[in-house]
Amino acid sequence: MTKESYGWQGRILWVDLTTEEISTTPLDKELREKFLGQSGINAKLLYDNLEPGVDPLSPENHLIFGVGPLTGTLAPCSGRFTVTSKSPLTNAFGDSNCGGHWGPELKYAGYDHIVITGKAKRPVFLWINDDKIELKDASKLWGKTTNETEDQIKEELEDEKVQVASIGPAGENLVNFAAIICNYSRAAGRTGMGAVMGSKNLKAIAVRGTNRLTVAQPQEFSATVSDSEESILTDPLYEISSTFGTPAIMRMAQSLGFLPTKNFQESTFAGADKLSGERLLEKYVTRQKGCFNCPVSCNRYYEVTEGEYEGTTGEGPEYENLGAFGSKCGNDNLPSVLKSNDLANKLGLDTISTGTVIGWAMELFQRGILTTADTDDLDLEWGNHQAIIKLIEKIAYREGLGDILAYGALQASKKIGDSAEDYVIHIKGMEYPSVDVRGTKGMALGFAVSPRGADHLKALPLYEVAPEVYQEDIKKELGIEVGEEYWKKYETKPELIAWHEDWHCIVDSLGLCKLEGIALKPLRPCHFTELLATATGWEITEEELRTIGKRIWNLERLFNAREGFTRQDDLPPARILNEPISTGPSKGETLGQDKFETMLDQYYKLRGWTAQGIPSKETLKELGLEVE
Amino acid sequence: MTITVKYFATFCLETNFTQQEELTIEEDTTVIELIELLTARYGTGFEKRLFTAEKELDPLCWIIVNQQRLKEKNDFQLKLNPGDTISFSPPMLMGG
Ligand code: SF4
Repeated sequence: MTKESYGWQGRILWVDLTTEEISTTPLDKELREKFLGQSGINAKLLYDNLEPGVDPLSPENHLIFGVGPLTGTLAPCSGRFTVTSKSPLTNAFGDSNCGGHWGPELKYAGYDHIVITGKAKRPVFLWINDDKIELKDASKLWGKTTNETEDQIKEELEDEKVQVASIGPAGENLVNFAAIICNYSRAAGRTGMGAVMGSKNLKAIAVRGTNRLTVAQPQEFSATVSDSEESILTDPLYEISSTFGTPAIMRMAQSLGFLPTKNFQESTFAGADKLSGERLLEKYVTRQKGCFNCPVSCNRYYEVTEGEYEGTTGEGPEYENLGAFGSKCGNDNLPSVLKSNDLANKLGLDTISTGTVIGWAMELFQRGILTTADTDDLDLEWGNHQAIIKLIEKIAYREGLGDILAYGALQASKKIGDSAEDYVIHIKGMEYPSVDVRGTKGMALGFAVSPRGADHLKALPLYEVAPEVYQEDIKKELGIEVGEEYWKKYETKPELIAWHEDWHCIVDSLGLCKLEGIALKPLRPCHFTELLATATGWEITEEELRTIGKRIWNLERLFNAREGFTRQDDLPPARILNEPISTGPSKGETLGQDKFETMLDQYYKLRGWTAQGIPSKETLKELGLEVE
Repeated sequence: MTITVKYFATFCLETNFTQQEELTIEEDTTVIELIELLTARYGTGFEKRLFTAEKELDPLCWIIVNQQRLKEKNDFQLKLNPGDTISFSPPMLMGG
């Protein structure tokens, strides 16, 4: 390894599953300096190598795994990796970030990125053992759950330390929102990366790495790591994150009136207390679980010890899972939500899309658009948790109604016809997470313009809802003065969202977890420049680093523009745009088409995009992204 | 009179996971008196979550009476009314 590539391993692994050719190329300095790593370089590799218009589930699509220059280092929360591809759910740019331990292992094996193309003739798994790379027969693994796959691969390779990222039956059956799972429950969940993997007959990627990872300035790096850890451990919100994790949000969402209920027909749920993070901790959590080198350990193991779901064990759930299988489906039975979460992980489904699609089907049932004749006699009454669990299985195995729902709500609505599409709550074909954004105008904008569809994670502007916690940072870093109920306001939201998008592109490209970097307060831009400089030897200013974030953001936008996406695809559905929230503390809140479009215009202008939302020539030139 | 008290996240660690309860209290009880009452009931850990060492309200604590957040010390003299809902919460976060 050259001094130049401290932090990065400096190699891309290319695997053509059709020809079984495997090769490596160096990771260019220019690529690193322009796109940093992980999600940024993944995006560039996809943009440069994929022909526009390619069917996402065809052998021509590329499936790219990437880690960042800080992944696997001593930097806190540095266990992340990103999977990138053209999404079968949206036909747009797709990527999904994942924690656990798989990313660091890939780094130790000596690679920063893996680009997978083609389609294997039979089911295979990719075995990366440092420099020894093999495609191994996976016929016996086909049909297995992600847990079984992980266990059996470890057994076959006779190594407990092997890290496995795999798909379950949902990915094999090309469910458009299939996930890739590692460490039994960590998911690259959104945008259907598991379906792309399934379309290539690739059941899993097993990795074992024993290379050392060296940093440019070990002592200085160590000091910066200590400083970053200190920031995390002394953060006022540390106790909540580490004790409750994201499920603490459930009752907060209820209190503010942002909790999507019954497919977004309502925004408060009578059963919220029964689904709460507090209830989860009191009754079901057995111990904490964390990703690689994370002082927060926001994840948990759970066990149900009595009742109908006795014997259910699993990991998680996140707030999003509680919303997806809980309030969105009118279901207040927490043990059933825990069962659903575990089942979705084992079958390899994105929990957010799965729960939201089921909630949508329940609304169609409520309205008589679906009847028991369409549901194989399943009663899709709100809150019928047995039906939810049955539908999860039917989706993964593409049985009956599940075969239609497996396309995702938007694509499924075209097959169902009638007015089914009117009730799909999506952007660009991806279902909304568990925030009723009619009450939070910045999040509404962030969800809308995300390249991967309705998505809370690309921007994740937590500043918006808890202005008191962040007001000094907002003022210092963005020059924005926040007032009472800042979340309800449209003003300054384009700036707020653009700032978060740029910095989250950086967090996702460095290999860190965004919960602890930027989104919650502990790690600030100064930590990123210092960690990067001491790990890689590359001195960079905050402004220069943010420009890289902007460049990545524009490239992802450009990918979608090349696929034909325009302003129209940034508009929320009618319910979110025009219907006021009907119940609860945010009653009456609405986005309003005119106000939303004005905010969108301001955002495009700020971004240097045309009125159609396409990056202008000048903007691309400024960012060094000139294209023919 | 009867009021409803809600405890969120870290406050639930002090109340042994009681998330919400109805309390019968004297007419004209003020917010600060309610806090004293709850401290007697749940221990000083409850109070410690509310106030800094300088006895100022910790800016990271939200006390909400009905839909209104209390921010100033004077607000604690607010007299509660029958049917009021008082919430004790860390800052409300969304979106994880
Ligand atoms: S904060 Fe949670 S999600 Fe992030 S790295 Fe730590 S354990 Fe993983």
